[in-house]
Amino acid sequence: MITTFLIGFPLLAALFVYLSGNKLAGKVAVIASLLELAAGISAFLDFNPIIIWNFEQRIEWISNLNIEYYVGMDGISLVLVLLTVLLLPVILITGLLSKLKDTAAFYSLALLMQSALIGVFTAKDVFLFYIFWELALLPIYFICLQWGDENRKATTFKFFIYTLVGSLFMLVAIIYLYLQTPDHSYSMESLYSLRLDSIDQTFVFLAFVLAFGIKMPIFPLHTWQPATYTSAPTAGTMLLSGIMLKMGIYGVIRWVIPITPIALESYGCWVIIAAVIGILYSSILALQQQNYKTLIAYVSIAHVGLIAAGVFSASFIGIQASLIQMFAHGINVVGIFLIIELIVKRTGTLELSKLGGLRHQAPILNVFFLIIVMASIALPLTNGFVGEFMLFVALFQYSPILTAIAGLTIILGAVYMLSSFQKIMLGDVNPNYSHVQDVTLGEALTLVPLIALIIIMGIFPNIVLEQTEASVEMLLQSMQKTVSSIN
Amino acid sequence: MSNILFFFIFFSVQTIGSAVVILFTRNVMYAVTALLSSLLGVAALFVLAGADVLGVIQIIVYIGGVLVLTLFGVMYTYQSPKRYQESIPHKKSVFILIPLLFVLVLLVQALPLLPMIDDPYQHASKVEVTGMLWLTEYLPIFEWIGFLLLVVLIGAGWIGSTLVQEDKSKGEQV
Amino acid sequence: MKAIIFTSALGILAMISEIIGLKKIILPLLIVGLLLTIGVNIYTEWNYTQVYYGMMLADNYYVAFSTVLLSITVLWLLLSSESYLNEEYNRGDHYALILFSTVGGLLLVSFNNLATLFMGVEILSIPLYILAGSDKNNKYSIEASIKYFLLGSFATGIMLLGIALLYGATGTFDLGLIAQYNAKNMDNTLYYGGTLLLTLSFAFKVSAVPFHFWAPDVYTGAPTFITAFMSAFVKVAAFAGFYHFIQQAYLSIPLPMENTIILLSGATILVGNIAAVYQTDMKRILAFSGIAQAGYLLLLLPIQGELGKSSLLVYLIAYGIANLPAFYVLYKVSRIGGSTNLESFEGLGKKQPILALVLTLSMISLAGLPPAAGFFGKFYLFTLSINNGYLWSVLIAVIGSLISIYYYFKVIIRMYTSTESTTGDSSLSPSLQVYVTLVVLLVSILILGLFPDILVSIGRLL
Repeated sequence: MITTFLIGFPLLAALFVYLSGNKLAGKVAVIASLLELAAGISAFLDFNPIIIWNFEQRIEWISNLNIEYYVGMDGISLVLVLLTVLLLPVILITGLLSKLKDTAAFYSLALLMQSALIGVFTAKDVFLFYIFWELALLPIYFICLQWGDENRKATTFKFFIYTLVGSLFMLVAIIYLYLQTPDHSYSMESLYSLRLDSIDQTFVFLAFVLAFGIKMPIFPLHTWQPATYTSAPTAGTMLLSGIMLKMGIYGVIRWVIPITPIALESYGCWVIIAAVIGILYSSILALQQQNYKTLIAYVSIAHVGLIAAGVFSASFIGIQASLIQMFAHGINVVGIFLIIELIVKRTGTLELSKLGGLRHQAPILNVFFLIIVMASIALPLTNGFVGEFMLFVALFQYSPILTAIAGLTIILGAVYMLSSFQKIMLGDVNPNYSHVQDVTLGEALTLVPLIALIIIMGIFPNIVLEQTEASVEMLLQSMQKTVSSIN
Repeated sequence: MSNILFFFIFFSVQTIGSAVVILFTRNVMYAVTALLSSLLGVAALFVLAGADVLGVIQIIVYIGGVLVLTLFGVMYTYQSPKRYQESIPHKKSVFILIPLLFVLVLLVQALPLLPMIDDPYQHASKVEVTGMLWLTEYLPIFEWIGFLLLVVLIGAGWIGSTLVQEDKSKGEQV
Repeated sequence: MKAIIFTSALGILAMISEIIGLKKIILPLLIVGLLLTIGVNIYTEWNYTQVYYGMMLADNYYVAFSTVLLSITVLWLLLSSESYLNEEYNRGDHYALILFSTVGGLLLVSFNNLATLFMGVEILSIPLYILAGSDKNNKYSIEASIKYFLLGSFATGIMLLGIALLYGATGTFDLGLIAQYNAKNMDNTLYYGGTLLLTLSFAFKVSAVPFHFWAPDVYTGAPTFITAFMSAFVKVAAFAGFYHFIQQAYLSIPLPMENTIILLSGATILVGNIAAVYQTDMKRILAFSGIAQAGYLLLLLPIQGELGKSSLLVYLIAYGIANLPAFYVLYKVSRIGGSTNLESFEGLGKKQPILALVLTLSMISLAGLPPAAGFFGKFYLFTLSINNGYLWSVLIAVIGSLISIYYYFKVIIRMYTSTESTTGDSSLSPSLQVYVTLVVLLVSILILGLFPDILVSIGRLL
């Protein structure tokens, strides 16, 4: 029931926000997202990791095609749902800070997006999953189109076409899987018990990886991402990088690993190689960026590449690590974009060469920024550390050479994050920015929870790991069953 | 070559040949005359196929009705015959020789057949059967044809009426 | 049968409305009449299969599709009520011709005899030849009319020849008897020749490639609402008729015909979508989009049985209810901007958010994205096609859908990104009845997209 509430409430709230008019919309939306957060936390408290699937609901939807409204949460879903409900208030407040026009439409689109995202993370029927997957695309498309910068037409379009290429082929694969199931069903159980031969698996694997790889994005499929991140409004970029790219990784964990394990075994290494190339490539590009937002976009490719490599290794530790790292990355990247928004608001630019010396005017901002930067380069005791460490362990078990190459990012990451931090905050007082204010109380109140999460998660990573352990083991068992029954 | 086959080829040539003439002539009168010949050929083909009712309808409706109307139309709008004049070499001889040739060939083939046409019931007329079918089994079709003709009439009237309207407004402007 | 008689009577009423002084109330009269017809039709004919005079088969398929066709006419009457028809002194004739065309559509979904098929095609087409040229002051309209008439007559001629060959092979016009013949004699050149010619003439009517050349010019030249009628009503009628023919005349579809249709479908999807990408005129975009949609629908034709029927029903309804509002918005925009170019749509999202929303949703539905009805239509179609073994055709269709996103969203982008700041333009706002109709259409696009089970269930009873 709580699952349906989590999906349905933002939907209703979106309607309500739209009707409440431009003046009130922002406040109503933030309140709604906080209520949603409360519901999410209560779900977290009620959650019982031992029984794997909690809060299930199963209603016939399109009975002629055996399509059901079938939702539920296991540990994997729970982590991502929590991430979504935690981040949305921050994203909406960022929207408030950046003074957008037509706010009612913006906030209701953001809430619609939240509803779709939670749907993606909780759907147990693959058709329902697909519907939510596509539904999540439309609001962010309109957000980028309506509130982006002057390049938005071309970049948004590229982004949209890219993601649709993936998802339409995924649709064909889903239909194909449906026709293969003996009872013609889209439910997770039927799909998990499918025993496809290796050729079928390869095609399904390709279609899924195309869809999920574009969303993440993995190396050769990433070209839409930096431009879109740069031209989207900051709140939109937060939605894209904080939550939406997790859809791709979640999809791999949820569908690719259990359904096509044989293909994963044969071709997974290529995906990992591509991901590692992507890590290196985007780190090097990040070093050369002048626009801080574009820089973060490339950093995001590097981080996600590492997570993807961990997931495609299909080991227990890899998946566990990817889950905790997804959670950490979501918080860190949203934190950074929030800082970006604060800097833009104060200075009007994100060109690294024009910035500098903000530390003198904004010491508190400086502290916040530094903590988030430290978290994103995975300093111990921050949330980034545990995940990244485990990911490297998983990757090392898979291939030491690739680990060595990917390990370069630890150094490169420190270089680009710290040097860009230096260019923005440190240095002499810049006369252009002498009147810059420090963070206001409201802004600090938004940042503090993020910082708190960064530190709590860094010290007690088990909060997440405990919840997901049983579910990940279950998933891998199901995968093993498929592999052994075919061999 | 059997007689039927001969007549079939003969009338086919007449039908298609006349149709080709319609396509290539620039003189409206020639075209109408060629259309007449083409339609007659079709009627003859119907008769050959044993569909004498259709043959008769073809002659009555198309030649007696539509073609005469067309001729009237052409004559009313016929501006200057010289504009459409086509130079055909040896015009007179061609126009006399070709029909003569046709008649000759027909006579040669048809005369020996005359004595055979003695038993009218051998190829019984289909008029009665067709009429019965139209008013029983094919009644809906018959009605729908009527409906179609109504639509065509409205359409024709509608196109015509708007033209008149336009002419009026032009006249007023002048 | 009742629906046909009633609709004809309403047509004649519309025709004489000016003489008997009903000119003012003719529109509500017709709408009420048509709604009553729909009601009576469903009430008396549903689940009560009957053959009238061996000419007309009134089964559930007929009831379902006649309801769809009559509903399209009703919606068309409502949406077009504020169009140029208002300025015409002979508005009644317009309505009469549209209703006569509707009768043709009804015949097309119920014929049990090839003669009826021919009459249906003619009664459907002839009013449209006239209506395409009804904007007499526009020479493109006249051109469209003549083009449509000439090519349409040509297609009719081919159809007649096909019918004649079928008659030559089987000795009957009756579809049931033809099906019996088909079961016994597998190869007969005459028979396949007739089948092929009939297929081609249908391909012309549904504007499948390579018989599509008339469509863009005719769609562009004809008055916008006539184009709307052609693209919604005629396509539905032609496809339902085509499918009905294949269902009734063949127990199992002959392989050459199946291959022809699949080939036509692939070509239509690719050519329609690719050509649409290069258009800058919204009317031409919609024309090519209509061609592309015909390509997807062709994939359904060889799929027999209840599944195929229900999918056809779902897809055609989704197509119809997305297409009509799109044309309405197009009309409104051309009214103000003076043209149907894409530039005229610039900033519509600010000027008229409601019209922009309508167009956005119908484009999303045509593109086949959830939660619109078009998504489920496409999804169901793909499922059946893959099940029937047309995996490669579906992949072509998927590529086509991707291309189609480009031009459908080109319009949306135009509407929501405007450089100049414009304020609301009240001259564009729709009248009350149109407003209500648009809302009903939008809601039904969403409802059918989210709960398509109702339609699928009905489709399985056909």
